[in-house]
Amino acid sequence: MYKKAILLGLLGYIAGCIIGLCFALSSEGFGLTSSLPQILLGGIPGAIAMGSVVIYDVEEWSILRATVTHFLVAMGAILFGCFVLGWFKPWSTSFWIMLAIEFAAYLLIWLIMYRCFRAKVRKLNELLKENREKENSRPD
Amino acid sequence: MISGKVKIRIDINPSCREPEVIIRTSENTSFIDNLIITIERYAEGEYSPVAAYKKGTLVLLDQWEIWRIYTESRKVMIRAESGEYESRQPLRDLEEMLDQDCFVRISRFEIVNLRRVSAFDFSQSGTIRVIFEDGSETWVARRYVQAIQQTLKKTEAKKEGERNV
Repeated sequence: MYKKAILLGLLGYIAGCIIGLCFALSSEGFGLTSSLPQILLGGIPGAIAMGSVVIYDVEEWSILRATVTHFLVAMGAILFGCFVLGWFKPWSTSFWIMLAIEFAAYLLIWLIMYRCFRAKVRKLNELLKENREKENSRPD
Repeated sequence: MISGKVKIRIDINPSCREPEVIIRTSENTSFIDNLIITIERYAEGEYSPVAAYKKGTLVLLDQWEIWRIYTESRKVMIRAESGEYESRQPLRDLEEMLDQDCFVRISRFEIVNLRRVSAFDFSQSGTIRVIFEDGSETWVARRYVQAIQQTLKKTEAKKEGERNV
């Protein structure tokens, strides 16, 4: 799990750097030297958000618990980008829109996973029932 | 309900070309099914009892009587019809020797006997649970659901084949 977290974290770091670069390019007075710290720090929220995907691999946790935990971690990463890196103006409209999008995305993730596993469990019960029926009708 | 007691009578007949087992019973129960499976496995040379310990005493458990094998505080525990036992073999080794049609891994910490499972349950929060015949429960890791499904499908196909023979 740690290996996976590190690998995903590295991918997230690269993605975060790219996002940081996009924000730096869109801001006034872009210069590679002056924007470099912002770009490199931009990788941190990306690494946190991606690396923490392994939360879903914690076997004991329910889908709800894993989704809520990852949502909170990802929200922390967004707040870092907002307050430390200045990606969004805190408490602005774009800040709230960002949070709303994040909330909707996680709600959708939870809903898809919930329905998918509910269907799988239903299938397991069907197979179990069919197995029992075949067992009971064994020829003497 | 028919449970653990079985009368055994041996009829030695020189005209018998191969041993024949006839089970006389008032009803077909899961106990009878398990008895048939045990005899079949033994005859096919697949049968291997599981060594378990209770208060330091070695007991050989028939596979069909095992409900679940799980890890608890770094110990491998076996829950069988006759009680709780401890195993000195790691879960992975036990998994290899168990009947692949009946036993399936449900998490990193547990293997269950599907013949002892009455149903699977999915809670509101998204936890998958196994409910045993006696009403006891344990949880299933999501990543093992596919493997459980495949085992059940494989067993079903095998039974279908046996019926058609």
